Amino acid sequence: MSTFIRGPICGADNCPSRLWRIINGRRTCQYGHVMEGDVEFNDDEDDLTGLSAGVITRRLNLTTNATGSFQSSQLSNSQLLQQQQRRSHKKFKKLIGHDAKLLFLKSFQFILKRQTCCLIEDMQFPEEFDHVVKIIWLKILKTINDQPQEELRLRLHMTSTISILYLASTHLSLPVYTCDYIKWICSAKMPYFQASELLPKAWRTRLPNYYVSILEGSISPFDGQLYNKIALTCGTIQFNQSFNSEISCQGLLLKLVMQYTLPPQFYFFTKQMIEFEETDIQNLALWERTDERHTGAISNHAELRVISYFMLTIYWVLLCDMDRQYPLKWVLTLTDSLTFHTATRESIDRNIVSVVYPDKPTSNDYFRWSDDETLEFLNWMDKKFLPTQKKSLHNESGSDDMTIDQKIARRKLYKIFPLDSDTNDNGEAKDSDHRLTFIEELQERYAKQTPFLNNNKTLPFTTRQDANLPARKDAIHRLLTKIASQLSTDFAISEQQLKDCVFRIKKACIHRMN
Amino acid sequence: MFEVPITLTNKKFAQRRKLKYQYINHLSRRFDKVAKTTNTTDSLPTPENSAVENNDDDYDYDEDEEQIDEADVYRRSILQQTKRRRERHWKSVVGELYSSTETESDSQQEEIQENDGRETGRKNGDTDEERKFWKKHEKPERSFEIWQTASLQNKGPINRRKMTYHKFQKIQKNSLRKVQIPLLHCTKENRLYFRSLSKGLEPLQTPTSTIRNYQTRHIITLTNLLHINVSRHNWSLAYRIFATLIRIPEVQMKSIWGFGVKILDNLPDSSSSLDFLQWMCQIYSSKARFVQNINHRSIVPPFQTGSRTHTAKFATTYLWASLINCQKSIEPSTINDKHYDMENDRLQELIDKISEWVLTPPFMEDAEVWFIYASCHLLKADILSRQFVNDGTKGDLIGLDRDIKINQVIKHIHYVKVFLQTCLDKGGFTIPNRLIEIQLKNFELRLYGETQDVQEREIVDGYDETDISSVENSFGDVYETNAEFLDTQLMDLSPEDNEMAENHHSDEESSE
Repeated sequence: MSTFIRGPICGADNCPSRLWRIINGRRTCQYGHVMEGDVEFNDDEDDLTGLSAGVITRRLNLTTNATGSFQSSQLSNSQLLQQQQRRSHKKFKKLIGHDAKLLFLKSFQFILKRQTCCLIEDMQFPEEFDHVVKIIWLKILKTINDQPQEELRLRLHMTSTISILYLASTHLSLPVYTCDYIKWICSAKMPYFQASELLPKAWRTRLPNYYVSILEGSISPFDGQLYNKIALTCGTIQFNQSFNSEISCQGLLLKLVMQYTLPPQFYFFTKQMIEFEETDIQNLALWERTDERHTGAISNHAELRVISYFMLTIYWVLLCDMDRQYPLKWVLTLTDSLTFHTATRESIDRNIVSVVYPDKPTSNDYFRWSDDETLEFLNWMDKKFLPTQKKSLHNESGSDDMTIDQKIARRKLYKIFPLDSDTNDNGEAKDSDHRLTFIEELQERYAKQTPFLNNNKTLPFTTRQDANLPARKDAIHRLLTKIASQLSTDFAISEQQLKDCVFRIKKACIHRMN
Repeated sequence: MFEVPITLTNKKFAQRRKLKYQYINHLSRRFDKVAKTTNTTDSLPTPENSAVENNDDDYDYDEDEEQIDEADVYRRSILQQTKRRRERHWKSVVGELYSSTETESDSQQEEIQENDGRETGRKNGDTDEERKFWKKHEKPERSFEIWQTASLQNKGPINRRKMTYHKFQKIQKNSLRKVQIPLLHCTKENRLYFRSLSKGLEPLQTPTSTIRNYQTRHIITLTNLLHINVSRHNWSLAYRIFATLIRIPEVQMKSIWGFGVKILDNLPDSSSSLDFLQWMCQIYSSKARFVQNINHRSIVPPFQTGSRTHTAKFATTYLWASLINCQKSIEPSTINDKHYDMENDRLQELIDKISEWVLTPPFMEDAEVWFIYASCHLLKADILSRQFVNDGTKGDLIGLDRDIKINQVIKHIHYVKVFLQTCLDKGGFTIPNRLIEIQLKNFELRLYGETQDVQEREIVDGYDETDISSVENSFGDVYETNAEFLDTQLMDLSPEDNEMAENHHSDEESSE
């Protein structure tokens, strides 16, 4: 079978053909026109001597590139060869062994620095934060250095960056908790996922793939992994000895109370309970884990204990109240308001976080998203998520592993589907006008509840009359389930872990009361 | 929830699949062994059975041998090898027309498989258990059903033997013992998964529900949002989602192009879907051979990419869309218009393009492409012949000019006939042959219009409006392309013909 090659339009006598084949060394189009001035000479010396043995022609295998003109296969072969040579060049070779570990430490430090800068600039962390992070990092380096070089184990992961930052913020008593860090990394406000893209190119090409994949941080921490890592990091550097390891419990409580729009009394209830239970305030310090293999009881982590106290307080207060101050209707509206979606920045962030965790009941919430929410999510995608994707249009310099043809194809595709930034900006400006701030939204949510809170005890009988309302105990349980599912998503622990933790605390409390 | 446009590869899934297919293959091998020793001649001759026999007669080889010992097995394998070699030889001589799609690597694998039963073969058998399994099943490229093989080399008699439960358990136990060591090395979750699968239970969780990877999570979310918003006809939002989705590097365009076309069609002031389809054709029209031993896991192959034997769906969609587009834009314009010339050029361009396409493998054999090609010429002939109808009033064309134009029309009519014939020869595509013939006849009548005019008028007068409209309505989407001669020309048919045309069409619909 003769093979046709696609090429430029023939054009002789308006011939429309674009298909060519080579007959006797001359390029001939589908309808038999011979291309002018395109004859392949076969002027090798050996052929002249061996004419009788039959002519051997050497033919260029022609392929076409994206623009439709011919491109010789030999050329591309030589290009490929060049590329390979360049790759095998010493400068681009992957490092191994001790050198690789050193480079990994350097890269890790680089990313840590980026994260710290980002926190100081975007989140208004104090300047001293930088120094504290440095000191902690040096301590970790020192423990690594103390190990014998033969069995050097780095035990660093992307979660280690978060735990270092967390330790630093705890030392400074900043009101920042794991839930905040998780929110920031999931909504790409802080470099974490695809962080290896931030590295200088020379480093990235020489870093072994294993370490690169660590720095990609592909999976967000789940099932309390982050807590375990924090405890382990704490243990390796003996954090409690030289730093302030007490978590700022008041801030966390305030945050929780506001998030679920509970009356302010609950803040004091919980605080009293914690003071009653944890005689020594030192108990709310970070836990140092020295055992590498066993994660230990989940209730060892101070933050989780606070959450458990919070949940227990809600449960007991509502249960003992018997419709005096917190009527059933209020509980029901509160439960409903937790599922209510708005397009504020906070709830968009929460949406993004909940999307990331697949095994939570909130992970399928997007089936109920409103158009606004979807639009906000897409805006976030454009601004934050897409720039972290390596081969996207935004940083074309990074797309070296694509051939020129692929690049052209991509660009054409993006032209067909433009993500027009002009309309985006307009929409953004419009949105920010009517978008509620956090405080406004909070006020609104509190305002919605006030009619149901009978502080002056005017209508103590109303709820009892409604037969179709669920029993009070059920309603409280439903509320707590809701809170638990949100908390477990926010703090990246499984619901079972939260349940265990609450159970342990409850037992301890009852034990103490007796 | 919905199909994700990326390949979900994961250590976990890979391990699961490997275990599964290793188990299945071993099980079937054991089964074959047991079944063979208990043997078999009492099965009735089936058509397939005898076909196999006839085939093998050439090689001096009898299917119904009583006892098959080691030597015979060996002899058979040698015979099969020679048969395969001969097949390959024939393929190289005849070219691609030779039907079986066996490749070099296939036969090698089969050899490995044969050895595997007797010897160890583990170290290389391990890697492609999945391929081995899928090779046994022929997967029609067009549909997604899995057939218990009809290809010649895998053909065997229908299995009518019964098996005791005891024997079955023995086989199962043996196979389970075989996978015990790999099971030791895999995760707890996968072990549970395998155990439940081997007991015939189906785990409820979908592959997407357990994936934790940050990027993949977002792709899953975007895909689901895309599905939701397309189903709600929320096109502007769907467009945003689609545009975002395709900018993530891992996303495969070929599994979501349908959405793109639909969205562009429905969204005003966006780029044309034709451009997009053209882009698809340029980038993804592969002429590689369809590989049978790969599990095409998610989407029916022709929707993703073309192969040597099948046209990709986006290619045919592109041709239909551009043909309809030409027809729609030519329809309102008159012949002397400047606009008309441009559109005519576009039609010519389309014809040129298809004429190139049909020279190369996948389109060469595709009846649908030939039919589109014929339809293009039909449209062209219609446009050209319409000049003569106008002539009746103006009387411009005379002499040489007229002869040239007549020749042009006749040339195109000839092309239509030739290409339709090719289309029929290729088969697999039902066409309204008779209807088109009538159309062509009408075009020819137009050329010599003066004599026929009177008759035509009479016939037109004979019908009332309702009749015509009913004819029009009876034609569905398929005839959108030819709509312009439906309203002008169908009125020439006698009532019987009309009915026939309708019947024909309904036949076609039912066959599709």
